[in-house]
Amino acid sequence: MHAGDVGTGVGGGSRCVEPVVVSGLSYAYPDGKAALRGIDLRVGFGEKVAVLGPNGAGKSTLLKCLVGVIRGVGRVEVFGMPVEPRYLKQIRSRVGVLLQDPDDQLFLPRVYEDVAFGPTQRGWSDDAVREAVLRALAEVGLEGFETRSTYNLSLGEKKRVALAGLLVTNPELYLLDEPTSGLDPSAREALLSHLERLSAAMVVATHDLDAAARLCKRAVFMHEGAVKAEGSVEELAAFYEKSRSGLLT
Amino acid sequence: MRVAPETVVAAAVMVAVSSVLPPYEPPRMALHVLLLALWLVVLAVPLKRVAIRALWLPAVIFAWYGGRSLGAAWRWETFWVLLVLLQVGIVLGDALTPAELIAGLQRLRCPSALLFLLALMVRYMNRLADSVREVHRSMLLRGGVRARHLPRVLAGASHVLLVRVYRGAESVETAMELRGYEARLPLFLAPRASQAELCMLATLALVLVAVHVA
Repeated sequence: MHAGDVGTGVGGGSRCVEPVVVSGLSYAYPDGKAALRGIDLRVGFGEKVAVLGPNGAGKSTLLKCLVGVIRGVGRVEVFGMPVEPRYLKQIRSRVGVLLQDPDDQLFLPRVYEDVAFGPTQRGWSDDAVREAVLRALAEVGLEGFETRSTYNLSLGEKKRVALAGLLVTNPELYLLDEPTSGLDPSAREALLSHLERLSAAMVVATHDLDAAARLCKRAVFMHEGAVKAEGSVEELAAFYEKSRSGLLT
Repeated sequence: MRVAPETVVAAAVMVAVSSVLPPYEPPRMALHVLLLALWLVVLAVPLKRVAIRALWLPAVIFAWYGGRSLGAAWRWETFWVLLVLLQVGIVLGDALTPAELIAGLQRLRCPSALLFLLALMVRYMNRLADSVREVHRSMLLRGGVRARHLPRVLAGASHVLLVRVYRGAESVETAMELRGYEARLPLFLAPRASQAELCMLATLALVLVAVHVA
């Protein structure tokens, strides 16, 4: 069976198709080192899943595979569409990706233009873009930041602007790569409170257990490119200790 | 007075083109200087600052290069062209922020691809400067560099910077693709040209044409 024949069919027009279906996904870096080994993962509509694990476990690599930045071997479907070049545009129009380093994500000189990037690419009218940008900035508590330089923002503000850049197009699936890394407690709290309000499906790659517990009911624990356990965040917290002590095989 | 960026850019282009077109006759050049000064007053850019900044570089270039290979008439003409272009460039830099400059060019229908490049350059120039500062600071913290090792260390540092820039460019490309890049530049926010400004531009154009026809 072709990967794209699963569910209600390729194209993802139906709401019955799960946002993420990954089965037997493997990926090796160009130097031959295995980054992902036979990953299985399903994410339902509105479901929030944390991907936990130490550095180098393959969390970010898994997120990259979900949006076709890199291609592994195995079945990867997003909204029923196989993650292949011909479906990437459709997939990416329904997925919002928050990169680990907001300086990579905010590539235009000022906040307004950067948040307006997504809707502009979709061909929205100038008035619709303006309305959506102002609404998205208000949602993340950054009213009045329109003409601020993206370079001069604090890390917390950059992360919130990056989030506004996702909210503005109202994606059906969020992929968040270490959303709270490097943030001070107040900036972390502000970002988490915005993320908690989102109702769309979400995959959060993090080692911030507290943030994962607040955002997600379900979690998977990855180690050396493989999923070692699945359960609630609280249940999986112990795996960090095991991975540190080398008890995880 | 807050002038719309497209007015500033259009006036700059008109004055620059008109000033550098031959023939170079003293009354015509004096009129251009007067127009430039008037433009600075309208934009509320300090005249003294622009004059100092715009004069020294052409003076140095002229002193270095002018006396060697160019004839007497050409020397003054070269100096004049350099002076005008630099003056206009400096005024643009003083009167507009980089984002406003992009807004002005966007409204004057400059190609999106060029403006995207300009926007990325503006956005990442500071980051590159940060990287250079970091490398320099890390050299100092590790005891500095002896003069005889300098070329090798500089080559190494340049390599590090090049790799950082390349990686950064790759990340930005990925981010642009993930956010659905279709070569459409978002509309840059800036005040729009008023009727009065458009009238001023039209008058300026007429004056410049009259100067050249006369």
